[in-house]
Amino acid sequence: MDSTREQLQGIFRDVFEDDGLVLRDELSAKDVPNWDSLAHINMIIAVEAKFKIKFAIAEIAQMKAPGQTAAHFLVLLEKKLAEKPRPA
Amino acid sequence: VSTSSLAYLAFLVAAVLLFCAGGGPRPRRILFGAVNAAFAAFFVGSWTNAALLAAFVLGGYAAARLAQNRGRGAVPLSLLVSVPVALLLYVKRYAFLSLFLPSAALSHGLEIVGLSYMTFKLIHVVVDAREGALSPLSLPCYANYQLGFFTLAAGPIQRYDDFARWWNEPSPAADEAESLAAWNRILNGILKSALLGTLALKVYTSAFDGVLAGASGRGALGRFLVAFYVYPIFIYLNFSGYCDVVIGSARLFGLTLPENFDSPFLARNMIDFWNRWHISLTFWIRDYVFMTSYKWFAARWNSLRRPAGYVLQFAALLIAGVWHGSTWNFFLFGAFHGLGVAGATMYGDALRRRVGADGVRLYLERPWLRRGAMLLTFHYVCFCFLFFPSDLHKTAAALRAVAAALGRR
Repeated sequence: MDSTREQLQGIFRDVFEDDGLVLRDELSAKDVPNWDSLAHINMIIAVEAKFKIKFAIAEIAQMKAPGQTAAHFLVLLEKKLAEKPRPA
Repeated sequence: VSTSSLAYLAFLVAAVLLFCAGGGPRPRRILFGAVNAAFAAFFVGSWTNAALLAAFVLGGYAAARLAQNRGRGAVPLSLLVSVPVALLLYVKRYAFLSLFLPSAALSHGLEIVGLSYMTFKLIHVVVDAREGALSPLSLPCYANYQLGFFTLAAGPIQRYDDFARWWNEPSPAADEAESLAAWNRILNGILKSALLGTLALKVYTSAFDGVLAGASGRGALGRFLVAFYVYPIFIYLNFSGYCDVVIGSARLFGLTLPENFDSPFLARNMIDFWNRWHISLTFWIRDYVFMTSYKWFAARWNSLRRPAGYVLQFAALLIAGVWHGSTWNFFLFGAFHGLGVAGATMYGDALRRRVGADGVRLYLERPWLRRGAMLLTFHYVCFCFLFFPSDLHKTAAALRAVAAALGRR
C-alpha cells in the first residue's frame, strides 16, 4: 500500500491539476499557482474522503496560513489517522 | 477616541507603564481587564447600552459553553450562531429590516461599538468550540478577547487561541528594540491616518463636491477621476494607519495581532486583492462562510460543486460587503467584489482548461501581463469603492454628471 505521503501527493496532483507536483516537506501554497481557497477546500474534501477523517475549520484554516508547509500537513494528517477509531 | 489622538496616546502610555510595573501574570491580567473596562465604558454611552454590551459578552460566553456540549441535548449550532447575527442586524438597523419591521421597532437607541467585529469573533469561538478545536475557555479570557481595547472598535479580527496563548502568560514587549519597533509602527500609523489620510480625504471631498456642484465638461471628468483614484487611497491610509497603531499598541503589551494589509494595490486580480486587503476579515469569511458552506454543499451535490464554488464565492464577498455597514450601498459594494472574485476564479479555471497547469505558470510569469493585471485590478477596486460612501444618491448624481459631461464632448 502507498505511504500516507504518496497518497497525499496523488491527491495534490489531482486537485491542483499538476502531474509533476512533488510533495516535498517545504512545499507551501505559495509554490502552487492555483492553490487558492477553492482548490484548498477541494483538497481537504478529497483528503477527508480518502482517509475517512474530518478536519475542524480551525485546522483547515491553519493549513493555509503563511509559513505552513506540506510537512505540517503530514504531521496533522498522521495525528488524525492515529486518533481515528479502529474498526471493531 | 481616535487612535491618532493625544487622548488615546496618553491612555496607551499610562496603560503600558502600569502593565510593565505589574508583577506577574495575575496582576497583569487584572490590570488589562480594568483598562479594557475603562476603554469600553468611555464608548458605551448609556446604561442601556452598557447592559446590552454585558449581555452580549456574557451571552457569547454561555453560547460557547453550550457549543462545547456535542452529546445528547446539544443546542443546534445554527441557533447559537443565528441569535447574535439577528441581534447584530437589529442593533445596527440594517436597511432591509424596514421591509419587515415597523419603523417604531427600528427607532431604538441601542448601540454597541465594535458589534460587527465582536459578532464575527463570537461565531468563530462558538463554531470552534462545537468542533472541539478551541483552547480552554474561561470567562475572563473570553471577555478580554472580545473587549480588548486595541481591537474593540475596528479589529483586526484575532482568533481566540492566539489571544488565549498571550492571556495565559501576559508579558510586555521583550526588550527596548521591540518597544522601539512598536512605537515606530504606532507613529507611522498616526502619520498615515491622521496626516496623509486627512490630506487624501480633503482632495477627495473637494473633487467629489466639485462634480456634484455642476462642474462642466472636462472639469467634471477630471474632478471625477481625482475622486475615483483618491478615495480608495484615503480608505487605505485611514484603515491601514489605524491598524498600524493598534498592532503597535498591542506589541507594547507583548501581544501579536494579525496583519491586515499587504500592499493591496499591487494585487493582480480580485482574489489576490482580498488576500492583501483587510486580511483578517477575508480569512474569517473564507473559513467560516465560504469553506464551510462549500464543504456542506459538496458533500450533498458533488457534481455541482464547481458552479456552486463560484456562487458561494460571490455570496461570501456579498456578506463581507454587507458586514461593513447597514445601508444598501454596502450590498452593491459586496456584490461587485463578489463578481470580481468569482469572475477571477472562472477565468483561472478556463485558462487552466485551455493551457494546463504549466501553461498557466508560464502565463503568470510574463511581466507585462502582471503589470496589466495589476492596473486592471486597481481600476476595478476603485470602481467598487464608488459604492463605499453610504449616500448612494450622491454617487448616482456624480455618475450622471460624468455621463452628461462625456455626452457633451
